[in-house]
Amino acid sequence: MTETAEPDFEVIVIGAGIAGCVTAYQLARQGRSVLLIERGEAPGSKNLSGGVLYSRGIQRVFPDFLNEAPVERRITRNYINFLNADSSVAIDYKDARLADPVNAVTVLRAKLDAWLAEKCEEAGALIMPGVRVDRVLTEDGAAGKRVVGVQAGDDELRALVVVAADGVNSFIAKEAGLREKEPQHHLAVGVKSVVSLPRKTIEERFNLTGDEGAAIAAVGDCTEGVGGGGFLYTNIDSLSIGIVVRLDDLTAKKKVVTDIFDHFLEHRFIAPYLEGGELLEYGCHLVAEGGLDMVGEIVMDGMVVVGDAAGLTLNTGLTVRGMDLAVGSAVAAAEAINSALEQKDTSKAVLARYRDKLFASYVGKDMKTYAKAPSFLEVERMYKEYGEVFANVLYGAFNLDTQPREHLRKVARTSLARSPLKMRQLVKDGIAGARAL
Amino acid sequence: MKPLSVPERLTKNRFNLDEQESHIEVNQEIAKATGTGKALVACCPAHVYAEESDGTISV
Repeated sequence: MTETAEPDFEVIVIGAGIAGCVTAYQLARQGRSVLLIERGEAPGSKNLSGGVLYSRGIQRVFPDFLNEAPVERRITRNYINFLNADSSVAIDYKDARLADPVNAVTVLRAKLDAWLAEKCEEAGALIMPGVRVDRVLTEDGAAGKRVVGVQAGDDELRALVVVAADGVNSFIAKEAGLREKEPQHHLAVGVKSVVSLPRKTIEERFNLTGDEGAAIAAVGDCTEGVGGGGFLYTNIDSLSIGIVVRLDDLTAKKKVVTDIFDHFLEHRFIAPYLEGGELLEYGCHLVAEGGLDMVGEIVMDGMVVVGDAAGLTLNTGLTVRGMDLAVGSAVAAAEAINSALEQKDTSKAVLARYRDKLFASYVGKDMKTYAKAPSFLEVERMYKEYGEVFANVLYGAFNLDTQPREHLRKVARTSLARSPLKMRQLVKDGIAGARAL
Repeated sequence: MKPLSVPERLTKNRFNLDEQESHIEVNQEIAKATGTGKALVACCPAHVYAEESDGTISV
């Protein structure tokens, strides 16, 4: 199908988060007329992420990203932690290779999104902050419903392509019929604080030098056994600390999310990191946890869906990703839209190249590789029993109490026998973990 | 770090209130029939919702 009515813009992007900004930036650089609409008073004012951005993708879009963008620290230390009430078993992975080339950085979205929006403006996009899009405008065509623009209050703006980049709870994609209401186990709630601390204190507490950064991920007692996890990331002179808990499990266990967050902040192994800090910011966000199952229809006549709105987030237990997937989807979408505009055909059939490009890129391939991760992370035992068994085995090895020692294998067997875990569960979870990760 | 209540935490943020168009409205019938009201109270990190003595959910 070809366009007939005169549009106000070639492309309207709804939402100035990472996916929206990168899409708008690339299309504006191609000379396309682009309107970027943001509901918040400024780009970034309503956006929230844990804070680690795997940066290789965005460096392809902005080659000088690491020097120019408001990046906090470059992650060289990943600390993966089974956190129990009185013990903790962790893998502390530090690697200089992660800094050269840089692989991941911490960011604060209020700064990063504002910078991205500036880049969009420099490239020629028009930014309209403080505006809520009420609905997309549609017309019936021979091939069905076609999106032809947006309505914001009394204003109607027409475009050849609309990009829905309005976040995990995308009202636009739902209203257009592209997404159904998600089941609760696909969704989690994230709660986060940014806590200020002197730069030197952070470097001493986390064993960092210069602009090195650390990312701590924890499961277990940090969420009081509710499916999810805790995180603690270093910024230049602040820490980002938070939890993410699955809504279905939170409801089933009748826990209150703020009680869990307080519990994490006050945990004996976490509180010392925060000692003397002052709260700068408190926020929350809905988080997509469904993996590949959440990525449904992302293209229709005249519209594509990108970033969180397309369900593109990935929690493997080791890495928690969203921002880099948003970048990847924006790159794929911008290429497909630009090509469709050149062809003067923005029908679903032509815009479907976005989906093809997405699934040919690291984004779609990783979503497929880790398709089984969400169900693996729903294993209850991960959030209590495993951490306790690991700690008990190590306690048996390190607690030299003048009693004769036993081989570690026997200590492990005894620890397992004393726990509610069964060997068959261990084997089953081991196989599931190997397949998922 | 000094423990803070949720209202104290929220004072650290800067808000622009949309007074002309409050967008949260709880359907009391659905909240009561499905038990969703209690879930709203438990899940909201900003403590926007509260359960009143008559079982209704206030915002």
